[in-house]
Amino acid sequence: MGQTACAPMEPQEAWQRFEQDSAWNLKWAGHLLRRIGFGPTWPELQKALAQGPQKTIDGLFQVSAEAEAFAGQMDQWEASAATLPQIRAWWLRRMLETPQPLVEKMTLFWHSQLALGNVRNVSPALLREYLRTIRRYCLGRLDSLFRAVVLQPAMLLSHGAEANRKARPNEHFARVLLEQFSVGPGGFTEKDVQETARSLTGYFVLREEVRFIDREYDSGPKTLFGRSGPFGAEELFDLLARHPATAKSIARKLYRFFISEAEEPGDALLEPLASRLIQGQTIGQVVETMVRSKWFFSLAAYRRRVKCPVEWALGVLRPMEVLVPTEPLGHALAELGQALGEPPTPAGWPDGVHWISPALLLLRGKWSQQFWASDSPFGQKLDPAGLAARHAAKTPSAQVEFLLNLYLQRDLPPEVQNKLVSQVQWASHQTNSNALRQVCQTLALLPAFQLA
Amino acid sequence: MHRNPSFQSGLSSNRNGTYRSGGVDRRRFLVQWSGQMGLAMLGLLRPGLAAAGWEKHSEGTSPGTDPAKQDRVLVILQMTGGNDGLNTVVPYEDDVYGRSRPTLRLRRTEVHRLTDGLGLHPEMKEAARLFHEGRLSIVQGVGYPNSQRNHPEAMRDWQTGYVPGLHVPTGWIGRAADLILQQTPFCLPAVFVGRIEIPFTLRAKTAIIPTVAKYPQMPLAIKGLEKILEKTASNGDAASADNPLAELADRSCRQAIQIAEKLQRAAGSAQLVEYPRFGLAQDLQVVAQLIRADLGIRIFYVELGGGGLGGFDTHAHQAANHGALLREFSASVAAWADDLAKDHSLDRVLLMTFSEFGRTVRENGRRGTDHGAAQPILLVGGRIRPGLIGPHPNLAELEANAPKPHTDFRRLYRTVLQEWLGLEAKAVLGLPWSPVPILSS
Repeated sequence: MGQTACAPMEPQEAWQRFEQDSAWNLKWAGHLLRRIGFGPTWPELQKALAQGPQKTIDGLFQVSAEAEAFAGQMDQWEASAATLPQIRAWWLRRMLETPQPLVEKMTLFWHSQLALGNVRNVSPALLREYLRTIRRYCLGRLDSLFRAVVLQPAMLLSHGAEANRKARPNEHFARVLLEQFSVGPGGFTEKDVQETARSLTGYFVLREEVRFIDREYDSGPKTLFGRSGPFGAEELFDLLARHPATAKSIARKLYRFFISEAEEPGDALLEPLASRLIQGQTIGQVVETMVRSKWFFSLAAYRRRVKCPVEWALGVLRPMEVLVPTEPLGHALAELGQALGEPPTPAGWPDGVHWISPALLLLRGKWSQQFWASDSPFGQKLDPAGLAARHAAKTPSAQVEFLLNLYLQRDLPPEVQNKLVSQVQWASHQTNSNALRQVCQTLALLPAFQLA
Repeated sequence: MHRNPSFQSGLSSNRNGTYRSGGVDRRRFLVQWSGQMGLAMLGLLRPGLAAAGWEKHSEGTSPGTDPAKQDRVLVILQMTGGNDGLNTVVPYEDDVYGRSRPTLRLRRTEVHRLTDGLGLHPEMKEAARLFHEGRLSIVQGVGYPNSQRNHPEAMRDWQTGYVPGLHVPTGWIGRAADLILQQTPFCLPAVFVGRIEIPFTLRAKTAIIPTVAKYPQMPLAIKGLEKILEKTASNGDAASADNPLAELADRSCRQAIQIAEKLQRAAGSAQLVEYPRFGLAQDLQVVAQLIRADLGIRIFYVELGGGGLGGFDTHAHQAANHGALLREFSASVAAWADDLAKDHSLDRVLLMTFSEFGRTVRENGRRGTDHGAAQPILLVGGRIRPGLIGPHPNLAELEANAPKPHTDFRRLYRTVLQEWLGLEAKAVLGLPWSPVPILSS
């Protein structure tokens, strides 16, 4: 690791397992836990530090009994969510409390990649079912994911594809499926759009359920991507999932999500990931290859993604080890540009630099202030001084240093750290807690904190 | 960022082409950059100084944009519910009008006369004054062929700039915002000032269009950040090593501080005009403040009528409700125009109203009117062609009991996009509509 890691790597070396345990430190533990989850807590950072990278990753990919119990409990509670804001609130609570953050992270990923269209046509129950399905299949095989999610009632309704008649195949939805969800722009012809639409005929949403109506299915032969046959939805999803362009497009999106948005990866770097998907490896296996790799633990990946509002807000709140009210949190995220459940277009949310325009940072400023105000629904719960004291930081300067380690693993220039420490040292003892809140408020706005 | 190559190239070189992101000492970069701030407070936010695409703008070669028009602002006012155009711009001498509206008819003695046979609703006194001052004009008979007459479909057509047979996941304002963002990366192209759910027309692919309910204050948190970042590089070694995103984040944070200061200064500046106590007036006052703060926002969207049922949807007892809305419109817009005119800001501003449809000529027996077709579009600004634009629809030739449109609304969209904002309208509307002469030469 260290500075040498920035040197270019051969593609075959890039995805090799990272074994350099001697370079493992708090900074890299933070990197790993940020990417695969949301804002690590101090105990999580300490545990990762003690376990080393590969063993930590083992844990992140395992489904523990605790995780299963948590998911079961949340499913049960979530079933009462009757409105979009409530559904958001339960999802955010999962993100805050889950013992298996990777699943929620991947649910977020697919929620943007396999995005709904106009959700005003979708009932809360259907939206819940769509999210539950994504959560269930997010780390599985691509073909199963497509099969389960594309034919969700919420998906069909929101894209205006609730009636796929033989006489009127829905080319609009077929185009979304090809362009946004699978092979990507330029990877298909108009003929492919028509044949895809024909393959989906027969599927209807009736009384909020998907039904296949045989007489509306166009059973005639179709030719898609150079193959011919009387394809239906089953065959279509297989063809899409095994198409090299799909694999490459998904690999590229995963690369942006887990490695870097700063540079466009070359084909040689993506090819090993894409070919794993084509061979039928699960998405989880491919993600695992990525995060266990030398490339992941190199400067080519370090702070080379912009935090989306969800990552940013949870990055502020989760390390405080308390539950905050998540319904207002959902509203805050909507104002910051990420209304969960309502992606702006079928292409999902924009990523990267789109999240750090000056105007949006100003909004983050507003919400950072809200989060830390001692009388806000969030700030009432957060107690940075208490948390620091619990983790053995007693003096004001030790407490600031604790927060710097917690939030940024002290990856800041010394001048900035000194200024923050002196802010608290000068505050009198009574106002110490408020001074720490102000430090946290500022930390959340630092340029480095905008990067994952 | 690699979606936009000009963006990336903008990062690695300054306008002299000497700065390389990896090679040059950060301090020198910061000094150079703050020197630019003196020229224009907002650096990236102001077109022309955008670090990304700087060269493009300075040469004026960027496709689909006109640098001379880059300080111009468009304000869209949505009148939700379907505004009764015939009782807004009233053909008070027309026989068909008189006969069709036994209770709702407005008479010569009541209206504010504009020209022979046409007058504004009695509650629109201030709007009539603007009209005579040449700061309010009316485009008559606007609509589209076979227009929808139910709210969601008609509203969707107006908000998307309906292209037959095409599914569009974005609104026309959203697409314009995307185009502006593409040309001036990092800017804030549009905002919604209002209290209803954000309208579909603001849906964009890449632009994030925030809702502003009241004038934003400078968050204290930003002040804290300012102290910390002052004269200091912000990123640690690992993050900043040859990392374009770290540089962008740093630059963007510093610009956020600049915007906050501008907002604070604009809020502190003396108010030039007293605004009436209407919701719309408050929203327009925020718009005026944001225009004065000079943040580079090109499009503002405001709404009158409440967004849901009611509002301009006057099926019953129209007179009082419609009058109240028109009073709110007239008094609010006039105060706003007067305010902006004080320091000549109105010269770079154009406001355009729309509703999802006009209403029927004949009263419906419940002292109301039903969903119609053509409507008058009101324009307010300092550089509009004064007067009435296009003839009043002929009430002898109706389309299912409603005035028939003769001017397609997409021609107006094209005009405000291209002739006013200097954007390539075809990229937003899909088709090459011809302009309507609404601007003063």
